[in-house]
Amino acid sequence: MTRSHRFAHRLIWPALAIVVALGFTMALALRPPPEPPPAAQGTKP
Amino acid sequence: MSLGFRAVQWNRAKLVYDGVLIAGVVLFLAVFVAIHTRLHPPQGAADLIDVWIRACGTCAFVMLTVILAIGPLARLDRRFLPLLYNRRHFGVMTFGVAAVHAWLMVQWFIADGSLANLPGELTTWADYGKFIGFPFKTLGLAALLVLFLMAATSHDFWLAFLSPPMWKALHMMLYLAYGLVVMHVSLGIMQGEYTVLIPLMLIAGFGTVAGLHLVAGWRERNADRGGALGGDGWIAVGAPDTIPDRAARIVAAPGGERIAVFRDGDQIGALTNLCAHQNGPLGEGRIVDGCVTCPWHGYQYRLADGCAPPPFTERLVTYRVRVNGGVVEVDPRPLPPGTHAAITVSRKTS
Repeated sequence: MTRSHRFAHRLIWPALAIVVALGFTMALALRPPPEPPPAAQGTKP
Repeated sequence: MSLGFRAVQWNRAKLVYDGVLIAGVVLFLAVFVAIHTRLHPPQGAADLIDVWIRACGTCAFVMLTVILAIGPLARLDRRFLPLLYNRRHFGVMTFGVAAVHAWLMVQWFIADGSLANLPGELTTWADYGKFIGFPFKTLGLAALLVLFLMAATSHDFWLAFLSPPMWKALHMMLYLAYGLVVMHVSLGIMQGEYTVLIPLMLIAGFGTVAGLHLVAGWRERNADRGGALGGDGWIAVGAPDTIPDRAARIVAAPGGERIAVFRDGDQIGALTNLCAHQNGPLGEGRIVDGCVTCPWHGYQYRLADGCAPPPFTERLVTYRVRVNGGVVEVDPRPLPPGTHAAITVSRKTS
């Protein structure tokens, strides 16, 4: 790899790691809670 | 054809590599579908297609993770170099699996009778302003487009046409595609499925790849610092015997570009560290059959003048070397490609 490619690697990966980690954490934290299971319905007589 | 077009060179190693890849993909899909259908038996055609969508999507993510891990692994440990040899076929196959994932998604909408909703999902512009609710399929399509671009330009024809530095820069878009895939999953299936396996897969995959790249970059930082310059601008490499026989020591020129100083018995020569093929790290290679051999794809060059042996025509930049007071020194000013610059040292000078 050329020097500029190595430099780009060192720039891109920390930036990508921060952006993706932030996006993933937000997606996990802000996701809607699971829907409660439907209540069991009694059979009509 | 022009531009030095060469047909794909098939050999046993490439066939074995591709065979293992295909077998691995088939096995992964079969095991995934078998386990998933056992745990959640599909209720209809759309359900069954959904299982295959998940299988292909997971497989493509795992393949992309492995592809992106190969580069730094090979830089950290030479034992991973064989994986790098045919990485482009790996990439093309990943695009194939990802394309099947997208095609199955369309088939799902058809089976569900809701194909008319698909364009609406992608063109509800107000959703692009949301975070949760962002049209995650667009992220997947963007990643697929990048993978297509990589696959379409993976052949050596494009490498020669674009030049290795430009080709390499273009293929670094794969990092962006990986980030898009992680967010495609995070804002897509992870929003509706509460299994811990999906976040775990994303953390393990992206964490491993990003960690490996950061560690490899950190370890190589020192190597980019220029070597000690003498009064006349030459760089001290060390005594001849400190250069391993039929291998190289790598030094950095003041600008940070690397020079590979090889020793083949009594002959010492210096070449650029960049292979003419894919700018592979020539100095991490060895001298095989009298020629400096790139560790990535086996491209060869004569140590004396940096020229590939006939009938090949590649030529590398060379550098002047000398022995001064028992120390090998290299002049960091490059000579025109193909210039004879190697010297023979007597064992007494070492």
